[in-house]
Amino acid sequence: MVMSSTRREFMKATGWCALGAAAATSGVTQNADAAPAKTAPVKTSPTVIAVYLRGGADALSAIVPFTDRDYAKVRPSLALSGPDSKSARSVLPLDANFGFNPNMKELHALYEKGMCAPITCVGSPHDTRSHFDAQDFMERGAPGQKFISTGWLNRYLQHTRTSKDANLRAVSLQSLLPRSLRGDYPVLAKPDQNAELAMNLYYRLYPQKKFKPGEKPPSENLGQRTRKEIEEFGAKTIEQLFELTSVLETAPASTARYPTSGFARQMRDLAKLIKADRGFEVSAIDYGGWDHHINEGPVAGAMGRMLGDVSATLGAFVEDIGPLRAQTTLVLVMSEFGRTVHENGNQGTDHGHGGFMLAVGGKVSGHRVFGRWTGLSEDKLYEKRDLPVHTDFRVVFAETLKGMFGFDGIKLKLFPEYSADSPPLGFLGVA
Amino acid sequence: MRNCLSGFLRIALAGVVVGVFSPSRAQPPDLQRRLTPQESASQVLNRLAFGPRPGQLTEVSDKGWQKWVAEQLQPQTIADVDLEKRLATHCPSLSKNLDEVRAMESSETERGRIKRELIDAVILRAVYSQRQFQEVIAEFWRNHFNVDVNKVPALAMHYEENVLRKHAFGKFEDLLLATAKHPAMLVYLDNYVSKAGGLNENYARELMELHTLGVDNGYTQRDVIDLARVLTGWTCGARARGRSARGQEFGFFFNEAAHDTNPATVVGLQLDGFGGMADGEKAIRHLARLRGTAEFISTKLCRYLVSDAPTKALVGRIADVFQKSGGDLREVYKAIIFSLEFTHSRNYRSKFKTPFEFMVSVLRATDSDITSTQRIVREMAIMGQPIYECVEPTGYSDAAEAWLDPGVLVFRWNFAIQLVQDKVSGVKAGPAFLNPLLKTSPGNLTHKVRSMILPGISEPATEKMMAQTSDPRVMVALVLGSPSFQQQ
Repeated sequence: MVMSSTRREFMKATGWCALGAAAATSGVTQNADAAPAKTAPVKTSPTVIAVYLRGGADALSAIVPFTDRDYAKVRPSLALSGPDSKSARSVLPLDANFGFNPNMKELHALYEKGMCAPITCVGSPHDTRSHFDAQDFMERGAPGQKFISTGWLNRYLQHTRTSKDANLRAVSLQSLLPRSLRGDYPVLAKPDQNAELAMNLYYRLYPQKKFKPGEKPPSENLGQRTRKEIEEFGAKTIEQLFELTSVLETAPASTARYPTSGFARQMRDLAKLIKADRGFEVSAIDYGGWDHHINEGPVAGAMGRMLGDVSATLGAFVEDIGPLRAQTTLVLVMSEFGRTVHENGNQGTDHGHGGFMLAVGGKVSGHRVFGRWTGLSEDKLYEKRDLPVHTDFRVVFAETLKGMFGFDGIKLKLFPEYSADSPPLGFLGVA
Repeated sequence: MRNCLSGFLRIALAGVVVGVFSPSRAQPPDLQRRLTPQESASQVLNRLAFGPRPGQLTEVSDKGWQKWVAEQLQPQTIADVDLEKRLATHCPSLSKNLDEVRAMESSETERGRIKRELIDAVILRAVYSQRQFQEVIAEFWRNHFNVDVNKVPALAMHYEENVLRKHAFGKFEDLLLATAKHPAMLVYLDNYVSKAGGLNENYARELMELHTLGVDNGYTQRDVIDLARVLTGWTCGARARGRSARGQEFGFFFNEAAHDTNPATVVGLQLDGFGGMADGEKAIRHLARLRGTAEFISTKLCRYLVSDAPTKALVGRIADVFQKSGGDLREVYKAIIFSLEFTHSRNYRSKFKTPFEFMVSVLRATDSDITSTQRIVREMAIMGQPIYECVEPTGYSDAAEAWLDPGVLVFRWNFAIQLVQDKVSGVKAGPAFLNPLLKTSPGNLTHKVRSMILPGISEPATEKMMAQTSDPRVMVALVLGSPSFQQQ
């Protein structure tokens, strides 16, 4: 807004901080009469964090079938070498068939501790190779169904909703709510900037109201009822944001060493939420950039760096939350599809079909690679070009909900039109 | 000369005094009564327009709200010069025909461009049009007859111009038939590939479930299949031009070879199967004229304009008007607006603004000049209502329960804060809003700010908060983010 200088003369310079000044000096605390009641810590609750690698991450460069006789042929420039070659391209051995990309040191260490379950040839039965559609289908848990708009995680939250749900039960730390979290259940989305400024500015306009003695609740006047609803939602938002911000700001600094990426920042904050024991249960994070058509660079290039980031972050995360909470936490890493088995003419790969997932947490059944493997010979590939999908991603989703929350997503029909005739993988030691 | 301003202030102060004596907060005591003329003007500007522009409540009050409504019901009589200038600059593709629009679908940049122009047109019209009710009702039909711009990027623009906007004040069955024949709808709901022996039921089902009767309201699965068969051959593509012109053009055409010629029964209407395209038209008009359709459309319109839960009595009366007038939408709108319920205290400020309604009302209240819509479009996505990008054929809901979410308000608050700090690039508050504030003495600022953004609405609690700062920007942000501004 343009103000004349005479205006400015008698305008105090307190400006923006006028109302927030008190709050700014004392951190995030607010006046006692309006401060939301401090909630008592709840018991450690199970937590699932879905990490979505957007773009179609190359399964073959992450969970590497280095003993397959066709591997070197299909990936002339991108192939990684066996563990014994002792080079920068050497995979980290998982079992007789597979090794991790060399940038996944921390995940490999977790694998050896039995806390990381790699899953191969997993994905969607739908044949789309469109990012847009494939991501939607996976995040909604409804391949091929265009008119489902709710996310699979949101449906779980809504299904198990109670009136006593913790404020921080479902949280997203990125401004655009991931699709898996969208739906009827109100997930707290922390906006990018200045949530504190907004909170401090508006909290007195949205008081937590209880009726005073003698005051009748509004009956016929819908306007008053609507007003009350709006105030309640605003108050709830502020209460939740206040709790979220105070947990994040007052949490002790973690001793684990995280990378400096945006992904790492989010995971570090989620670790704080877990350690605060406030009933945090579900979150989802987007990690973009995996669409490596050109110069995939699985060792020293783009993909190698990103895998390194994911690995180092998850390693720090598990260390950060400690062994006790690691038992009740699961990070599920996924992507909309894998990539072509053959590399293309640009040292990259194109959109494929079957892909990979990683399950990281203390409850994981360790020391093996999950999912059926039928090799890289052309007759075994999907449409002669891609990894096949031997495991429907909904199997993994359902096992996650069952193993971590005791929630039977199949029986309770969480996945629309899913017949679920395949056996579980058992990566959480749950059949 | 009548002193409008003091009259306005007097009324506002009276509202404050009443508020002080009542046990509940800002609103007058709960009475079953008709709204005062000024409250009616406010109701009209919030329900039949996207919120008042500075000074507009006074204008409408002075004119008389009924007279304003009568004008708005004849939008073609209202000049719209400023808007037309903006549209000419930002949205040159609006006048393109189907051929031209179709040509744009083949290039990715062109598709992106026309999509952007369509979304811009929606925003600019809602903010700047003098024909406000036309824009409000266009938004209703846009959702009722939803298409997803990402599925039909160029076709959607032609659809908006030549179907929704063209028929919004005509007969419902004409509007319905126009949607059924437009390539945007034929592609969006897959009817263009439906043929005898390879039936696609999608459109037939939505035609009954969403566009006419409503879910399970008098039709069966058998009707869906039969209607789908009647509509086989309804497709789009290259067709011969009219008699006077040569060559081909793109558009709707009836592919006889794909049409199912077996008899069909659609909700009681029996067709022998040999009527060709006319059978489809018969079936569509038949559905449009059913009582169930009159009730469903009336319910949705009453929900949009009057209350999230309109009474059966009101819906019944409006459905009567719908049927008696042969589905004349202007008559239906008139009946709703001049009903007892529309200007009744029970329904006053009883709705919650959708993200789009919030955004547009902010821009109108602050007389904002939009030089770029980029931030606005982004905000709509963040708030969960990306324009023309609703994937589901249900379109965006208008009810509070769809939008009242704890997170929802934070994005509105943040937007208000950014706006007053001039941090929303491409958007700047304008002189009709700023100048009166600049002329106000510091002691009167809180009241002035509130009365400019929420004219005629008493808000003592908000004004008390505002009095704790001397910065008008903070005051404006407070009002824009206040509970009252979210009410409609």
